[in-house]
Amino acid sequence: MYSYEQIARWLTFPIDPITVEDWVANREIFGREKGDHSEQTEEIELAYQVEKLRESMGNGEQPPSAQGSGGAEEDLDLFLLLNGVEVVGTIDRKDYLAIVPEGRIPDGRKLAEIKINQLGLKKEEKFNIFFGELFIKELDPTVSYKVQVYPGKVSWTGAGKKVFVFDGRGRPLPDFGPGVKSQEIMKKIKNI
Amino acid sequence: MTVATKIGFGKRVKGEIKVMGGEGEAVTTHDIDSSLQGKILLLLTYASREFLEKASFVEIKAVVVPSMHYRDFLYFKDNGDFSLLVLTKFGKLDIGDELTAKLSKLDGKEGELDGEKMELSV
Repeated sequence: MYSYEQIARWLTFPIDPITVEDWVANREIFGREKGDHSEQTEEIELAYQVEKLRESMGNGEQPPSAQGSGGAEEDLDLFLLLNGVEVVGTIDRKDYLAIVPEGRIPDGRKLAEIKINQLGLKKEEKFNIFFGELFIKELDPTVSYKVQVYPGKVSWTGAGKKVFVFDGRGRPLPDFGPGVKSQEIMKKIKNI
Repeated sequence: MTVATKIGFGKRVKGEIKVMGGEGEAVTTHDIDSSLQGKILLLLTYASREFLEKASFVEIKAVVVPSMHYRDFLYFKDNGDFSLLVLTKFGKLDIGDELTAKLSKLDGKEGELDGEKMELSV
């Protein structure tokens, strides 16, 4: 049975422990509730799925969507990939590009510099990313970009992306609990 | 008549059923006295942890509640001296008028409650 802390850390809104405990216990006994699709319930369900995924990955199992398909995690949404599977590396999907470096450095230290060029316009933007930061940049899918990350010289060139994500929270993810900061990060991810 | 649930604990017990809390009336610790000893308490409305603690103190055999919080369920599973069934889910939920009317008729009847099978038979 997942604890209040395990569930609440993935939510974008404050919630009391008794409500979470009741919800998780009901979810385990009765399964997913059919009638209730409120935004908050959907979010708790997503948090529950993240914890299930983390538990299964901890036991050395493949993510559910990868079983039997051969295409690892292909169908999982970005929220589950970043927080449940804790993917590392470059994730190039249909409409988003995510780069997730592995490892950890001391809090507050500069982690990377990102350069985003709009090809053909000779327009370049630079961003400094600090450890613990979740960087999100909206892109125009009709424009071709070149994205470069230093150090590491990770580079990507292409078009058709709506958003670029650089997850500087470190891998494995820090053992964070419910709180304002984690809620802000989750809001960012959910809005992608 | 058998009432089956998905949440419960405790051994199989027999006793007279005492229905409390019908027609929207709240139950309080003042409703509990030694006359309830050995009975199966069938509550039609939400009861607090204090209520159930006092019910345990007067040695009721079993309790049926519409709903209860999960942490209270765990508490009484570890510390309660009675068997227990939850009719709906964890939380603070009502059972509805139809079921309330049906269960109200069980007052005073002899019943058997099995916490492991999660059933109340009359």
